[in-house]
Amino acid sequence: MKRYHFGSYLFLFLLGLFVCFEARNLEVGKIFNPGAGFFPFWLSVSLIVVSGILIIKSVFERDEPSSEFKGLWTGLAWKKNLLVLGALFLYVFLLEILGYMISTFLLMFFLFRAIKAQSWVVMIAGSVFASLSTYFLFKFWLQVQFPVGILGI
Amino acid sequence: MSLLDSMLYGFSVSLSPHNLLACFVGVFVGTLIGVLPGIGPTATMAMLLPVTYKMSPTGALIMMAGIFYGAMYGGSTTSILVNIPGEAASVVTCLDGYQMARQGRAGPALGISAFGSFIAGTLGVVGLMILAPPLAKVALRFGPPEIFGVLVLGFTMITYLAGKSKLKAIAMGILGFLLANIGNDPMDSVPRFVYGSVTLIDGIGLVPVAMGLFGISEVLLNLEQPSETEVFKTSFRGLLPSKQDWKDSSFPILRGGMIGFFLGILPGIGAIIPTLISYAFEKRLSKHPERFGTGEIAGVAAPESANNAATAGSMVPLLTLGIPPNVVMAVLLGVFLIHGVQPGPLLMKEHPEIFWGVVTSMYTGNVMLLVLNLPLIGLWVKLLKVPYQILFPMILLFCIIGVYSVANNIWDVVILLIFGVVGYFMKKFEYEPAPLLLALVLGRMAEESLRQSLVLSRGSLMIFLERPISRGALIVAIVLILYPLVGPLLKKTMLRERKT
Repeated sequence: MKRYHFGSYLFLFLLGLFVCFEARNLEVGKIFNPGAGFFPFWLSVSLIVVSGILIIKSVFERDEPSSEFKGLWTGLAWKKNLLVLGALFLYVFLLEILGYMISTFLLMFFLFRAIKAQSWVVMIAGSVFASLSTYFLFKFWLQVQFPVGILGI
Repeated sequence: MSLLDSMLYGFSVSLSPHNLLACFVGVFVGTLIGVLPGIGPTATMAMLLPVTYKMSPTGALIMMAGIFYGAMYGGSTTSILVNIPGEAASVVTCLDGYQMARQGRAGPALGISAFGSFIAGTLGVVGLMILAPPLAKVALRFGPPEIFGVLVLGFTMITYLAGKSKLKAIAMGILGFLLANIGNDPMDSVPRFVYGSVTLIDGIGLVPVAMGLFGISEVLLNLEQPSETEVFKTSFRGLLPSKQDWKDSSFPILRGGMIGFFLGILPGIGAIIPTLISYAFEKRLSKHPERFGTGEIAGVAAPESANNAATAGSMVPLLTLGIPPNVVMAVLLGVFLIHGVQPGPLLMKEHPEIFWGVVTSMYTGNVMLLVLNLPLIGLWVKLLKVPYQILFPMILLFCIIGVYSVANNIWDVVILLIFGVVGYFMKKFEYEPAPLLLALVLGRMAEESLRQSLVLSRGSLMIFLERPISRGALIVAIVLILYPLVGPLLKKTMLRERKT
């Protein structure tokens, strides 16, 4: 059993407890007349049981030596993921302020740079192409209503 | 209508120019993403959902189905040429396919996988056509207890077949059911776990979760990998397999097709497990099992046939019961629902154009794939050289637009990103995403059928045992659950008895 798995079991266990508590605020009902809380209540109870078994098993099983939590990320470029995710969340935030065109251009420009910087021509041409082509494809052909930003596009 | 009449009617639908184009786009995109590692049919189908809004439901489903079986064709190409499976269902093909390529026999390997896929895929469609109508008739008699019984059996099988840890798979299934509980309660319309959010009242959608778990998380995992792949240089002259090749692979193709089709019907199996089983089966049957893994053509033909036939098999429960047996079919169910069509026993009666149109389009699609694949292999190989740093921003953008356009709701994109992160950690901690997604899709159905059954029986759980279909399903489920616990004990006692 790998040590770091314990954390995920504990998370599931606590999640089960939380849902169980919340479901009791809904009407659980009786077995002949189940209410809105019936299904979530019994599901959370089973989640608590299953994660409880996993926790007990992980406590009693012997640890593998190479099972450090950090080991999951050794030698991997996980910082890039943080950058990309940060950019994506920022994009969602900016979308309604700057509008689809500008924010998409900025996102694509950043993403083309994020892993390995491309040449300026590739980055600018790629970002312009990506934002324009998807804009026309989705807005005019598929009639998706994109957020209109301060510039009205 | 007789089967032949229905088929002719189906062809009149699927061969109309609009649907023919939809089929072509589907198989083309399917092959494309099958070739590209790091993006699978589930994410692609979810991404292309908005494109189908302007299409007829039949056209939309024809295209989506095409993506699935097209990906099975495409996946073999990268397995053979680069030793990297473009799809998980082509992992086994690497074993002998890549060895064949290294011996200069990439052509026949690619050729036999295309022909095998074609033959088995077509056989699978025949099976689907024969099996679906009688099954739909049986399914018409299904009430809530039967549906609940079948769902329990389905989930038991999904967790039974789960890779490393069954308990973790069960936990993911429960989590999926819990996610399905978010939003208005299906029977009393009481809001649950909504916390004042307007987005959550309608529940968590399949599309953002599917794209997050299978699209975004996959990109994140690929981004942190340092290595880049190199394409094996080989010539593609002589794609046609020789007479001896055909002799060696015709039975494996047929057997692989049978295994794929029948296993594909079962819940939780998908297209991957049949490839493993058919490979093992051929190895056992072979007179020279030692040659497997060194470039044996049967080792390419059998699994490639199995995964294509499995796609047809997995359509059976979706089209007849309305229950998707695997994740890809869950997304296909989403396509049905978005177009206002409920798949299930009534589909054939209420929407014969959809049922027969989609089924017959799979014949046409298989022909297209054969014609498309053999001459275009050179092009697919070139595509592999497109660097990932150019590709991934486009994948991310399409995921975001795809999710956004479902309801023009920016919060759906936030849900997408959250499930991207969740999926990333799930892969790291070795949790399988498939049970979660399937449970999310089937959660409402499970809850309704359970609650309705309990109301019907006034709270007696015996109702599930009184009805023969649900009784049968539950007994099989219990056997599956108990077997891993009791099986080793039984073996021990039997061994002891033999000794004494």
